[in-house]
Amino acid sequence: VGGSADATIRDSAATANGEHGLVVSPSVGAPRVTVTGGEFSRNGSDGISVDPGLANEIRFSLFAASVARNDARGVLLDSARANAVLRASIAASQIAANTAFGVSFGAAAGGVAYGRISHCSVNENGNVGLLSAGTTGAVMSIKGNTVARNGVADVRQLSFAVLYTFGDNALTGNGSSDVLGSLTSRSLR
Amino acid sequence: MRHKTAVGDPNLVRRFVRALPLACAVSLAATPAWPAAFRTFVASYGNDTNPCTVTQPCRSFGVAIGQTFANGEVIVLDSGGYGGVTINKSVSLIAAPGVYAGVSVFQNQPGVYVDAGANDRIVLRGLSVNGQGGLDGIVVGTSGEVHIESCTVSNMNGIGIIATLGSHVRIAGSTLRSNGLDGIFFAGNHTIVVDDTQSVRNGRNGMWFSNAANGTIRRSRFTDNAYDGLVAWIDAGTGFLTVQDSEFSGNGNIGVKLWAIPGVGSPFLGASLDRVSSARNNESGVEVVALGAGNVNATLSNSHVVWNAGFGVTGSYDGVALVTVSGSTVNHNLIAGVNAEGGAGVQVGLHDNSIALNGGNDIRQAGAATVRVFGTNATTGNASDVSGTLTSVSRQ
Repeated sequence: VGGSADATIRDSAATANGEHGLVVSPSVGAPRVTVTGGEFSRNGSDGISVDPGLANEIRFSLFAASVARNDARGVLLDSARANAVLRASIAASQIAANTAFGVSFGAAAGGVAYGRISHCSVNENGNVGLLSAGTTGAVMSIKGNTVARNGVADVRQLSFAVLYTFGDNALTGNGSSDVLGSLTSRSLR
Repeated sequence: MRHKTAVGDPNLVRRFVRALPLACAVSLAATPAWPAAFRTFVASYGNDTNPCTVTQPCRSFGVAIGQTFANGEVIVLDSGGYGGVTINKSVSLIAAPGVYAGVSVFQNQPGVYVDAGANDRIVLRGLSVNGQGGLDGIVVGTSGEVHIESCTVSNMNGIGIIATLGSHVRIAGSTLRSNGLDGIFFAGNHTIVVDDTQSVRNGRNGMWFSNAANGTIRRSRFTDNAYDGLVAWIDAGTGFLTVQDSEFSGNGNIGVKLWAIPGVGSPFLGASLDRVSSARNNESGVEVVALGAGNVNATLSNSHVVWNAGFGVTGSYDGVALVTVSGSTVNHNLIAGVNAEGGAGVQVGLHDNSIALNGGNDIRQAGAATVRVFGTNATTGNASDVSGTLTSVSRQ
């Protein structure tokens, strides 16, 4: 999905492709891309890859989808350049058994990324279930997820990125290996 | 609050009256003197002087229906146009998959007009109703049950499917597309079920549901319509609406509009929305409005309300609007995520939601309205998350 227009993808499957299942990388503007339902699995690289491309901003949401068994990350959300903005939500989805990260979230220097992951299952990914990495511009928050049995850690905060938790996520329960880095608690209302 | 359409529009009544003589003429013309059958046939190469058998099919639906016993079937043998028709008894019009059964609708004609007995059952399967200056596509008048299966109604000047008199209407696997007004217009004390259907790019609303009625919508989409995706508008009596696994996105105004507007007495609307997506609408995602003696009880659960240009979910005005939102995502909406404003009758309860990254505030309470929270909702985490006062309630 390039260009500048809003886009909707519903109940569709992008599976077993040589590289990514879905790439969202607009060229201009601030498009809204919504994905509802569907499957993005068994691809040769990431299941879903989202970055602002050459646009000022990308706004992305994923709802009720399955992202599994991809050969890299399940979902990559990356505000990959200076002055770019990424706003994203992932809800009620299953992100499982991907080779690397379940969700990899980050921002490059000068970029900004705001993300919310809620009510998802993020299990059995090869590296980290939920990763927030990069600069202080990367702010991810997690609410009400099941994040379990991931290879390296269930949840990881890396570098200067921010990872807010609302204290209602269910991790594996193995103590120190559940979480790497520093999580910032936020109160539920 | 804006009134862009009106229930009880006298134009709708006049539309029936104008259409009736023409439709009856289509139905009654040139009935041949052949014995009737339980199953009759039409074909592009047929002739209305034939007995409507498989070897000697008729040309038009109207004549074939006249040759068919009550509860019988009219089968379309090949692709072609079969003309508008009035249906006055229990009968099924069936085009098998792969057969295009077209009904072109010209000016001042309805495409398919059901005017049968109060206990009659009508099935329309596989029809393509296409406007050529005509007003409404499928008009459901008096009937017991009408099943509209795998049909397409497009390019009408008026409404795709309009039902004001039928007691039970079911629309399954159908598409209402690019009609001038609503995709589906349903009014009256009846039941409507919409399954696996799309109502898209219509000139007014995806679906209008009004007055005392029972409605069920499952696995359907109401997207990119000029006004609202779904309007449930009760101005008298009691209406119930259940929506599951459906989408209301990209509409010109509101995704889902649930209104109780007193016309007669104290109208009540009960609405349950589960696993619904309402995104990218140009106003709010889900709007609940109760005026005066109006009462709306609405539940939104396990749903996704994002990127709307107004509120994500809003309850308002001076009637009774009881709104519960649970297990849902209400993110990235422009004005606020959840809004409650108006009188003391407006009460919004929030449990186990993500309400974050909205413009303005995540949760907005104004006036005498109440927002109840249970310590289970995740807002953005900034000082501007909440405007007004939240009422904390303990979980039991």
